[in-house]
Amino acid sequence: MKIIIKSLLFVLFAAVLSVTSCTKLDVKVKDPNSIATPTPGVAPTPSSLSKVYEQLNQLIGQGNWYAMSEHTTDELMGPTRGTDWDDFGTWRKLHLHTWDGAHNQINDTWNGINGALFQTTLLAESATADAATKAEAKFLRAYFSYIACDLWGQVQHRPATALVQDLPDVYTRSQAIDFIISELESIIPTLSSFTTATRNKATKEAAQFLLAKAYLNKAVFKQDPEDPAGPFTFAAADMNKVIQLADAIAANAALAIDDNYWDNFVWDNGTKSSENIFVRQNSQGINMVWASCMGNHYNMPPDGWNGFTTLADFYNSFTDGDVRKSKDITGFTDLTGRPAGFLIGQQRGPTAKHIGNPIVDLKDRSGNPLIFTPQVSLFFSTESKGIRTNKWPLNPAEMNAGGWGSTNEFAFFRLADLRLMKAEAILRGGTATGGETPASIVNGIRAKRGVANLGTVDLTALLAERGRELYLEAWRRNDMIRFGVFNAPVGERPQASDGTRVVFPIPNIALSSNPNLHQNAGY
Amino acid sequence: MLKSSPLFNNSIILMLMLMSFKKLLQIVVLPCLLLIAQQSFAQERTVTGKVTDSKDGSPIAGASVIPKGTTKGTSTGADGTYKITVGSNVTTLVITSVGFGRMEVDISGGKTTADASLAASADNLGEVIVSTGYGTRKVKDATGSVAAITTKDFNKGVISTPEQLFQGRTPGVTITPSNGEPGAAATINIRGTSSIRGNNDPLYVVDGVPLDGGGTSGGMSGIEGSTTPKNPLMFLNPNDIESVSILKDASSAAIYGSRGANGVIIITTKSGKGRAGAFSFSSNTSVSWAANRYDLLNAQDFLQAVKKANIDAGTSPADAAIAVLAVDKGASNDWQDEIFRTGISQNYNLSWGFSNKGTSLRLSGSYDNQEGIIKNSELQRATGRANFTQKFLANDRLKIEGMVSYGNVKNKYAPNSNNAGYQGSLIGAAIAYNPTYPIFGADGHYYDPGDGNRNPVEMLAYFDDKDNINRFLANISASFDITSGLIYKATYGYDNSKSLRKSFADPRLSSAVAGGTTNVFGVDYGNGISGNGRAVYQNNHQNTNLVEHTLTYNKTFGIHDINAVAGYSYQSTTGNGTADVAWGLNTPVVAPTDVFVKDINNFKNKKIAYLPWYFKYELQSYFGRVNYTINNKYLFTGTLRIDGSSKFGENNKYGTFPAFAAKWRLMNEDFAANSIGKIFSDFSIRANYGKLGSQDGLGAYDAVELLETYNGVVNNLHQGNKDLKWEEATTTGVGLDFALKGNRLSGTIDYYYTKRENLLFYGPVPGGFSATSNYFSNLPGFVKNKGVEVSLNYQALKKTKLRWDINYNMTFQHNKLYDFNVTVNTGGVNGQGLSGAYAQTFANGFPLFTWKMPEFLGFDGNGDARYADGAKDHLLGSALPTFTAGLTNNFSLGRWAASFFMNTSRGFFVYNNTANALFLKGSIKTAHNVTYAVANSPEDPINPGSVSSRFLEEGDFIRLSNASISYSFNIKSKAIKSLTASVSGQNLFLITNYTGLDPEVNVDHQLGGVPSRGFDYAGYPKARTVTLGINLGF
Repeated sequence: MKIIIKSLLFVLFAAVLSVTSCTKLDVKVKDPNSIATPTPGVAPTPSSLSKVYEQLNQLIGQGNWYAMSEHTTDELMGPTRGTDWDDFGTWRKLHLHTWDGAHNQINDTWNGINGALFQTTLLAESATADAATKAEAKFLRAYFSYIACDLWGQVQHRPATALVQDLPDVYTRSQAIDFIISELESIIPTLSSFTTATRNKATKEAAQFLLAKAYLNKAVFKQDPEDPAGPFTFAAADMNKVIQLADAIAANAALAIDDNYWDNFVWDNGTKSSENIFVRQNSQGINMVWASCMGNHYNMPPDGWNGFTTLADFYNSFTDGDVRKSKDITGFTDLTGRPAGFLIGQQRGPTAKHIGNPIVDLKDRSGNPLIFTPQVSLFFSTESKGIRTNKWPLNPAEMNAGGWGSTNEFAFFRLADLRLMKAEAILRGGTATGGETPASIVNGIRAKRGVANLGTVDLTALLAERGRELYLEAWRRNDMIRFGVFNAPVGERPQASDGTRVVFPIPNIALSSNPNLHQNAGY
Repeated sequence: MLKSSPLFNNSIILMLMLMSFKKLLQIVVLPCLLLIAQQSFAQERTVTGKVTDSKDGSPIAGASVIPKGTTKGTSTGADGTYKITVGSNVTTLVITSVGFGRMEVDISGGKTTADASLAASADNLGEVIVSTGYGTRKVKDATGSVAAITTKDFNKGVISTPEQLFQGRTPGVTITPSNGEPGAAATINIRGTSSIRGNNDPLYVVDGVPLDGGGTSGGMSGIEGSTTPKNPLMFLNPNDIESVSILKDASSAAIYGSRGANGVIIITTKSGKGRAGAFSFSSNTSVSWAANRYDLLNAQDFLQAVKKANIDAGTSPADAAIAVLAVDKGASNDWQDEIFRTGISQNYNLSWGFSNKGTSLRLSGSYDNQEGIIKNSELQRATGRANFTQKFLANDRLKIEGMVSYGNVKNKYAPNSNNAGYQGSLIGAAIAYNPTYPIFGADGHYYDPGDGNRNPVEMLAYFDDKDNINRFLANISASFDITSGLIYKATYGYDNSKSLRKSFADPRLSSAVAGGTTNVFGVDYGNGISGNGRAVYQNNHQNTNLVEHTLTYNKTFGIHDINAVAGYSYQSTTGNGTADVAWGLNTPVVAPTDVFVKDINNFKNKKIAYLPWYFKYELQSYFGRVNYTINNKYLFTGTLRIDGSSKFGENNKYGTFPAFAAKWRLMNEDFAANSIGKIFSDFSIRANYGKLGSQDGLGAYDAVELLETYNGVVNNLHQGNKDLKWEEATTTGVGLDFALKGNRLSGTIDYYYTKRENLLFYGPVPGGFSATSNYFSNLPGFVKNKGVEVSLNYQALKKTKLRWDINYNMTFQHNKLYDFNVTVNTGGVNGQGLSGAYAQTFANGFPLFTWKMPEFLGFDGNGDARYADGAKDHLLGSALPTFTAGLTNNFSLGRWAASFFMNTSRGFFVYNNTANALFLKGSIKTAHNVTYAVANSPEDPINPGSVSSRFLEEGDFIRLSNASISYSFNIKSKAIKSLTASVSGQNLFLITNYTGLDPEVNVDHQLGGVPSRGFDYAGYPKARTVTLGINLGF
């Protein structure tokens, strides 16, 4: 006993003596190679370039930026279906243009885009990164700035060396577009040219594409913020820039309009597409399951969510025979029972949602035939109301495991868009080049989509063509604003909305945490 | 046998009452070691004697024997005998024991023997010793608001975690279990909740070692959504606990400064007693079942209701009849029967201890096996503990004390989460699953309806989720009596906890049952469970070291009594862990009979989901306290603690926390005898003021910029806030202690007022312009908490054989937020059609956890919901109760003892998310099962279940929480010293208007890290439990 107690005593005093002096309470991390706090007083350390690229992943999903760009238009809406999809009115408010500064998706998108602006700024202004890396970071910052400018008309910026407590400064919409243009012009010489292998990187062509978008929309962004819906005055010089950039990009032999429209969207679009200029890949942490599931019924593989529908008027803007409207795809339709494009009428699919099972007529959850109808109410719809879309067909071989392994890439920038931008720039006063006319450009694309030529192409016809070509690719809101029809009534929104809805409100939380921001007109 | 007692004839409820025989409940109070007054050693003699129970002559172990006028004495052994050396001037011994009256024994004239026979009583609460942190005091001498609960008052039955011992027994202490799972965490609020970010949990101190808040049990399986982490205190064997002291106000908790803002709970474990070694053995067996179930449609009524809902939605009766044929799969199952079970639990405790000649030792071990009332859920616990004391040198000037304990807990989890989406997790799935679906399909596999609904039996069979937690806690101290009244003490504490949670999902899970997620801990693996299977191993390790040095000084100068302590404390905590995810079996399992080997090495692909993580934080403190008493009439306490924490910004690491308290014992004034003395035997008033700090909810690195590097890729995780500082709570309080003459009625009344400011909050970064949109900052605005606490003890009957004691406590509390101009919403509402929905907010001028939602006005003629003011949000009450009360009745009649305990909470609202997500007419329309009430409601089947006051319900309840009856056998054997048998019941009845299973529920629905309160979402239901037990002393 005595020995035990003596040894315990020894242990006790050894322990006590080991901590005799006071500590300074410095933060202690274990391994500088895994988790570290930087040296005090030094500028924040930027994330690696590949991490900064991951900021793009936030754009790919059914909600937030994508929803703000699509649900607000004539292409998409999220009807409430009894117990399903009420979701606090979040989809309904987007379609009805009745959002406010408390809207969850507007707030979340703001935070996401501004987080991306922060991360891209740290690298773009890094003291140690090389010029090529900084040029790529500047491209990404310009893209996120463009999105912020487009959505809210105010873009925050703060030097990389500042503290997080320091309030960011704010560019007005006019200052922001000037900043974006000058940044892009400064980096284009540094960036390398597009190849199929670099389609997920900031290339010269990607930067030129974004610059063309900036010039095309410059009149919108330069508009008086008190009256943001226009009408807009497009400068011929800006339109000529668009045409010049479109020609420069089209000169790259690796890019051409695809003979098969769906090559740009199917699960092997990475190898098939010759139009996608700037993409995000499945291996980079994204997937396109949401694009199928947001509309697919619960009884369709892979486990749809039975949500969003297109609007009957939009569906009716397509003519029969247009491959973009509906196309059976070998190796897909035979296994899933559905085409690419729009889904309407009695739906078919494999029994038990299992690819490989026989294809049968499907039923809804109450046992009724599953028939997708053009009529749909935003407020009170049953399960089968509304036309669904299948823009990014998933690999059927992956569907029984949820479709997550399907390797569809999401293209932010696509050549067909650029070609239509050139047509638009000519219509808006730019000088035609290469003997091309708006009609020749549009009909050149239409020929590959299986539809007859249009006789004349005016702005109205061009917007409709942009809708048919680019539906669900998140450009619709931007297009409708530029064409001055964003506030016009559609389907379930019978009254025109106020012109101030063309920009979203600054979220309440951001407004209260950065006094340099001022609420947009009309909110 | 029961019928022979008239007391028990009246009520069936009483038959179910808890038992606990007084004799076994004797609490042994250690001598009050702190108050050491130097004696004159000129002439000494030894006095011996025996202390017995006046009722039956049985020995009273652990009674305190102190020479009158001093504070240093001894205690009796297991046979009731004592031996004490006293000075020649001592003429009287004061003998006390908890649960018995006080007695003075005359030893004048050089007597060397003195026996005492004590009468049981409940009127000596003032003698109860309360731990005050770095010292003890008698409750009657405490200047602040403290409470002590001893074995006698502990709740009985299946006790998996220590707080269940004293739930409801003390005013101002609200304990809300998160759910009914064995070992579930509870929300414990002392004097309300006032921090909007912190967990509001009190600080736990076990045998002098402050525990670091977090446990190491994981909150996620990595497979089935998030669950509330289990209670970090479950490693303690409740049977080892001698007493629990609760420091409620700032003046008493200030000695723990930085971490006392939510109150302090001090747990003291049992130590060895009795000169000769004594064994004690106890064993319990319990039967538990779900106290309440959902009233769901049976198969036949279900089909009728689906048809009717289809017709109501516009389908023709003929088409609806055809449609129902597609829904009817012919079976008839009650899915609640498939997931619930009757749980059998067992508990064994064995201890041995002695105390003799300056040495005391107690060894104990226990084993528990608690089956949950949901299949696959279980808690197994084995504990071992040793407490020892050894005194050395002349007059025992050197004392070594130590405590070593080890606990092993193994949990099994059913696949149930807090925040299931449209498919629900186990309970939600079982509620909604079509009762005509069979369990197995024709192919022998579990039936997959192919409609996204989850087969609950398949979930139980193909998910496997277990953990294994080891916790080792040790504490050794040496104290040395330097000179008269000055004692130096050094303490070293060590707390080490390791856990491994292994979760498996079988690849045979159909895709609907396995859910759609490929995302584990925020990492997308690009593959689902179905066909791939999944294993997740989570390793957690946490280690805390504590070093303390204290100097204690006790001295009496005439009428002045001083008791002071000063000290330094350093505590560091480190943690680390990993989480591995694996998928794709080497040997695929396909047929129902194939064996799935549950081992991560059986998988082809393996990835680390989290970087191996690590943290370390430190706390360094300087503290001091002076208790000064004049003439036993005026008592003063002053406390100061300075705390520094590595968690704060480089500019504000230190906080200073002072406190003062005073007590005036009016009864001891000269004027009392002719005034209040005619009515009262005790009458004292108290006042206190103090400031406390909090760093709750802060991680080790929340104030600094943090980078992560993995495979050479740098990730800027978050930005720091150099100015981050301590959250502070300032409390002012007054109190009254009284006892009527004859001591039949005694009580205390307290009023408190707390202002909480510099609120630590994970709030918005300016403009959202950072790596994360939120960071930790100190919010402007403050929270005020006010309350009144009343505790009353009444001896209703005080006959020789028959006794009836009543204890009642109640608390009124209110809180409100001021100068708060930030938008903070929380309380995410989960389920189908409820993405992005929330129901709770923090609003200026309103209590914390205020409900925010449109006001429901009933259904219109179409059965569609109508809302007030165009469905604008309204602020509608809070989830926090404004009134709580507990009532304990103890009876004893000869060798019989009985007690029952009821409690109530009022003035709070519960959000019935279960009803919002599952109990809608639209659910039955889409062939999901609902209750009869829903099937018969006038609701339109396409009416959306929007968040509204339709699902907000008053939570007021009254519960018979605990009842017991025990009998102590009259043992004549030499081998066996005592034997008691008991039967007890828990949660025996519940009176409430709440339509869910139980309003006392708190399923975690935090949003963006902001805590929520008062959500009920298909949580693990509460059990009703009956326990049979024996206690044996030998």
